[in-house]
Amino acid sequence: MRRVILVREWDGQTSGSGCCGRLGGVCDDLGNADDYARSRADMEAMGAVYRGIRRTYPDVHVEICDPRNMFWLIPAIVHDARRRGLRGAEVRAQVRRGVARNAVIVDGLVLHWGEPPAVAPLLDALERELGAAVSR
Amino acid sequence: MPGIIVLVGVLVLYALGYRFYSRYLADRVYALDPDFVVPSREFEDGVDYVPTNKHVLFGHHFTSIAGAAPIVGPAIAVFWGWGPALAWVVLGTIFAAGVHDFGALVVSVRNKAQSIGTLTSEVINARARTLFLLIIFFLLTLVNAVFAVVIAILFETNPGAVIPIFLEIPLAIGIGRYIYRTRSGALVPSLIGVALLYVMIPVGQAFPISLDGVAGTLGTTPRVLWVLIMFTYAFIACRLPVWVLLQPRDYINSHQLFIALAVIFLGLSIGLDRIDAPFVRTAVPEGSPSWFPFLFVTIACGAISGFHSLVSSGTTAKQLASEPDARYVGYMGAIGEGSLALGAILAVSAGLSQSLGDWEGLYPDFGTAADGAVGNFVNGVAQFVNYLGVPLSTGAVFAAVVVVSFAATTMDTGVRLQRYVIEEIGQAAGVRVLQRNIWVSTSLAVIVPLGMALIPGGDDRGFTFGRLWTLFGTTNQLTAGLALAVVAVWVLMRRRNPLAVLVPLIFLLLMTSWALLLNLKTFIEQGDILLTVLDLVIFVLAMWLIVEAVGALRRARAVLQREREGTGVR
Repeated sequence: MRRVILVREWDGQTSGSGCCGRLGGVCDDLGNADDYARSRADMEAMGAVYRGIRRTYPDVHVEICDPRNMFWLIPAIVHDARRRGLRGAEVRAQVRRGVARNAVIVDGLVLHWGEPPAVAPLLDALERELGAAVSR
Repeated sequence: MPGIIVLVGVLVLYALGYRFYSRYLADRVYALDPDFVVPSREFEDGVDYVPTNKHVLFGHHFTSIAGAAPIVGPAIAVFWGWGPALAWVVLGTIFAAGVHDFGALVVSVRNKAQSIGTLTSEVINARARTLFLLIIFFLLTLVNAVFAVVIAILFETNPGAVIPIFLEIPLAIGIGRYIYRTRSGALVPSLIGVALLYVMIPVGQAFPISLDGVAGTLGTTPRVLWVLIMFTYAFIACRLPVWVLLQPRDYINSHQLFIALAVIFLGLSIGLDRIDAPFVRTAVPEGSPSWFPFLFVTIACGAISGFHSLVSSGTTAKQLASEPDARYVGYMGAIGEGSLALGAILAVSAGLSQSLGDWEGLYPDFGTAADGAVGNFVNGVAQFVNYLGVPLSTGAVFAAVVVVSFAATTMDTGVRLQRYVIEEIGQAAGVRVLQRNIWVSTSLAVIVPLGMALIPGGDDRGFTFGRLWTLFGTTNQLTAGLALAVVAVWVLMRRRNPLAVLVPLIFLLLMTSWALLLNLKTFIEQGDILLTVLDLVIFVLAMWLIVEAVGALRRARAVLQREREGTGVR
C-alpha cells in the first residue's frame, strides 16, 4: 500500500483545555480565525499539496496528522519505514524529520519538512519516489 | 476492596458498553450509513474538510476534550462515597456521554458539519441560539472562576509547584519560538520541555513560593492573591497570539495527559491499594447537600459534558472519513473521558489514605471536600507515583503541576472564548462597544468570573467553591441538554426511536432543575444575594431550555403525524 502522510497542525486543537480549545466550535461564525493565523497559513499551503496529490495520484492513500498526535504518527512512520526496508539509524532519522511541521512522508521516507512545500516540485519528487516504489 | 479490581471491572463495563450499546445506537438510533457522503468527502479541500483515519481522528478528538474538570468533579463527589460517584461516572459515560458525544457528531455530519450552536438554531428555532449563547456565557464564566480557584488552592497547598508552573511559561514560549520560527520537529523540543518542567520540581520544592507574608501585609488571604494573579495572567495570555504560549504549551500538555494517565493506572496496578473510602456514606454530616440530585451536577465532565458537543460538531465532524467511524471516535472519546474520571475516583478513594478514619478526616464536610478535592487528588496520585520509586512529596508536586497546567490552559482558552461570546452578544444586542472594543470585551471576560471566584462564602474559608462548582456542573449539563434536544429532534424526524436520547435528556434536565431549586433555597436562606441571582438566572435558562426542547419535540411529532395522515400510514 502506498501511503503519504502530511504533518500539519489542526487549528484549535488544545490539549488540557477541557474543550475550550475549540474556539471555533461554539457557532460556525464565532471564534476568531486570526487567533490561528499561523497554523491556518500552513493548513492552507498543505491543503494545496493535499489536493495536488489527490488529483495526480487518486489511488494513493493520503493522511493528514497533527504533529501532537505522536501515538499514531511515530508508529506509522516506523511501520512504513521498516516496510520500505529501512533499519536502525535510518528509521530514527525518518522519525526525527517526520514529526516536524509540514513534513511530507511517502511510505516511511520523509521527502520534505519545514516550510510548506511548493506543490509542483513536491509532486515531481513524489512521482520519482512513487515510481521507484513501483519498480521496487 | 482492591482498587485494581474496580479498575479492571470498570474497563470491562466500558468495553461492553462500546461493544453492545454503541452498536445499538449506531444501528437502531442513529442508523449509520456507510454509503452516506460525509462532509469531509463532499467538501474535501485538504484544509478543514479532510477524510481522516479514525485512529488519527480519535487522537485529535480525545486530547481536545480531556482537561482538569473530569478530575475535580469526581474528587469532590467521592464525599458521598465512591460507589455513587463511580456508578454515575460509569452509567453516565455509557448511557449519557456516549449517546451525547456520538449523537452530536452524527447530527453535525448529517448537516454539513455545522456546529451545535448553528444546529440549535436550525433544528429547534432561532431563539434557541440566543439561549445557547447565554448558557455558554455562564458556563465559561463559571469555568474561569472555578479553575482560578483550583489553581489558587493548589499553589497555596503545594508551594513547590509555583516555580515549575511559572517557568513553564518561558519554556513554552522558547519552544514555540523554536518550532514555529524554524518549523522543525516538535517532538524533541517538547519532550525536553516536559523533562525540564519535571527537573524544576525539586527546584520548586527547594524554593517554595508562599504568599502568606504578602497576603498578611495586604490584609487578605493567599488564595485571593493567587486568584488575582491568575486572572491577571489570563488577561495577558488571552491577548497573545496563540502560537506564542498556548500552542507550544499544548505540546507539553499533550505529553502530560498521557503521562498522568499512565502513572495513575500503573501506580495503582503496582501498589494494589485498597479502597479506604466508604462505598456509600450513609451518615453525611448535617447541612451537607444530598447526593441526589447534587451528585449529577458535581460530576459533569467524566459522566456527561455539554462541552463535548462543541468538539464533536463543527470540527471533528469535518474530518470523519465515513459515517460508521462516528461510533469509534464519538463513543470512545466519551469512554476516554470516563477513564480519566475513573482515575480521579481511584486516586481519592484508594491512593489518598491508609484507613477509613484517615479518609473521613479529609472529607469531614462538603465545604472541606470541595475545597480539598484537587489537593486530595494530588496526594492520591502522589501515592501512585511513589510506587514508581519517586518520593511522595515530589509526586505531589508532579500531580499539582499536571492539574495546574491543564487548568491554566482552560483559563487561557476560556477567557479568550468568553471574549468572543461577549462580542457576539454585543452584536446581537446592538451594543457596539462590546462588539468592537477588545479591551472592554476582554475586561468583562475577566472581571465577571473574577468577581464570582472572590464571592465571600459562609465560612472562614471565604470561598464558596463547592457551590460554584455545582453551578458550573449545572450549566455544563444544560449545554448537554441543549445538544441532546437537538439530537432527539433529529432522531425523531428520521422516524427512529429517540428513547436512548430522551432518557438522558429528561434525567439531566430534572436533576439540574432540582439542584438549582435546592441551591436557590440555600442561597436565599444564607442571604447570599449574588449566588441567588446567579442561580435564578441559570434556573430561568433551564426552564427556557425545557420549553424549547418540549416545543421542538412536539413540532417534530406533529410533522410526522401529518406525514403519516397524508400517506395513510398508521
